[in-house]
Amino acid sequence: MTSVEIYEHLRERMPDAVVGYEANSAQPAILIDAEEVFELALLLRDSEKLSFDRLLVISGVDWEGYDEKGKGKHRKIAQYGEDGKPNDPGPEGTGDLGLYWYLHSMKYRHSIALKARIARDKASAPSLATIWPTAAWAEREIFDFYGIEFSGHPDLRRMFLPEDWEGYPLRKDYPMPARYHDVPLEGLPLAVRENQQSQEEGA
Amino acid sequence: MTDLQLSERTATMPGDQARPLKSDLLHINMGPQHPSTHGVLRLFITTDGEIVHTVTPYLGYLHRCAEKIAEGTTWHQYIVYTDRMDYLAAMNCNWGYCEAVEQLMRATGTEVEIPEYAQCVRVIIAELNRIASHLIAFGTYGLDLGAMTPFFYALREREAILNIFEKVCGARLMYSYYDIGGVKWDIPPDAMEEIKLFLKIFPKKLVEYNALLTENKIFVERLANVGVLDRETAIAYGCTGPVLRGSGVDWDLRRDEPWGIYDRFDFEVAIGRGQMGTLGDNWDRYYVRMLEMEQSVKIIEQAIAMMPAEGEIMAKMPRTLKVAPGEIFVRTEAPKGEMGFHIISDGGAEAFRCKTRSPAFHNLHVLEKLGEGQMISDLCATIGSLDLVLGEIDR
Repeated sequence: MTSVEIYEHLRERMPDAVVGYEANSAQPAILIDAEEVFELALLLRDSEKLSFDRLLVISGVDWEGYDEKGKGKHRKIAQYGEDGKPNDPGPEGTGDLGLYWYLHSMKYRHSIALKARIARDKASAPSLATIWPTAAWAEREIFDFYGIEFSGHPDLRRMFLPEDWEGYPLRKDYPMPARYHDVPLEGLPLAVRENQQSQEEGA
Repeated sequence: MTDLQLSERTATMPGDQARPLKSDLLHINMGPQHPSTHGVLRLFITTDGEIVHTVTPYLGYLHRCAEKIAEGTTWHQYIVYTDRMDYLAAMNCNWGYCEAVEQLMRATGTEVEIPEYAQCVRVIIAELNRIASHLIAFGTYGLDLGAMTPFFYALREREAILNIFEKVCGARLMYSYYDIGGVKWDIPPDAMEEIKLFLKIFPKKLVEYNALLTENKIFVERLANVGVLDRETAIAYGCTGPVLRGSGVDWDLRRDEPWGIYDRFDFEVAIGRGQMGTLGDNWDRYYVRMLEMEQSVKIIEQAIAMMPAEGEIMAKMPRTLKVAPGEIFVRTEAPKGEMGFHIISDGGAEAFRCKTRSPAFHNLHVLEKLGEGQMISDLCATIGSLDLVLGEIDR
């Protein structure tokens, strides 16, 4: 089935869950309501005509500061400045968070992308871990980086960062920490500092 | 002391034959520094004697914030960071990223016409790197199971490939050779001769490997019927690459969803057949890689034959690259499996979002299921058969 046919099929079966269809973007995608994704995923997996048996990726997005005009003037992430100290990330973000699922069917060899927007102050979505086991780790990764809570997830912990890490680093308004457990993260790298020191001593 | 008290005391003595021997669950940390975990992977294992009850991988020891870096570097600068993902197959990672950016540009209306010559160079180099990556998988797998010789054999042939790469791009591990729109340098004539020589010699070496390890009785006994991954589980857990094909699933992006010029090549997709035991066991996954190396040689030979005598290595690209707004998910077949890049652009000089779908990340997830009920020594064999690279898992 092509993406349009899949979209028509879904809209027929679950009109409330499907919000729209992106035909003109680089890759066609179905826009959905994040709250309904669990039922939608069940339909996508179990429907005889669709049978999506593989979830290839779940990706999180922070849409804060996205340039709608397409000029690339999006909000710049905080980086380390010339003095080696973290830059000010600016005001707290208000834009939506987003989720992106890419599914593939081994039986019919078709694939589809699903997209949803989530309010930043209520960042949660249903977990698909009981439908496709792949989702368990992919959702943990998104929880780690974006702080989106997946309800019904069997084991929602941080994936890569330490459990006591504060904040969600891939959000655009993430302030870079200066220290972690008394280990200074700010300042120039040690090699640069030593180099400067030796130059000063030499002079 | 009365008799009663004495008997009570002896009854609680350890090793008392009157009471049945009680087993107890033991928690073990395997890694992050462990030779069989192929990097800094920490496995938290609950065991009862030698039997593994649960395996929980803990990741992040090699996390370098690649996805955050992608939002702060230009499109070209990020190629360097893709090297550091799967550092045993950096060429394939470079290509996966460049391909994703090129496809996004094409889909949003920018013409990117990769020259024929560059397309052939890309295939030749990527397949050579696939062989090099599988050679490491083959060599270290023997090492995991106590067979040291194959490792030296594998590194000897990998050395030949690395020498070729050094002549092509000057680097032996972190190549950054692919560029958005083509490749950075031409293959020099003497490197081309070396590639041809390598293709002549390598099939004979494969026969040697098979005699040395593949059909070795001890090796087969250790692998056959161990770590059986059935077809449905492999698909549901998102396994890709040799792990998926080892379970008998006939799926290879190079043939089924070709990118570049892969649709022109005639090759067979190697799948597991359960020759030595059950379909989808460790031996099947191992053997798929051996067969794939053979097929890669076939592809390189065809690519050399269809290569024009000379040509451009780069498409005409602007000096400062800006990608028109759009969102795309493109995956390519890396040696470890399907490597995908989910890229969002809003017209800027850097990505708004660049997520990597790393194959080994999802291949490792299935270890939670495979490890249950195995012996600890078999767990090492199972980890080896998944061919993990932590650089790519942690990113």
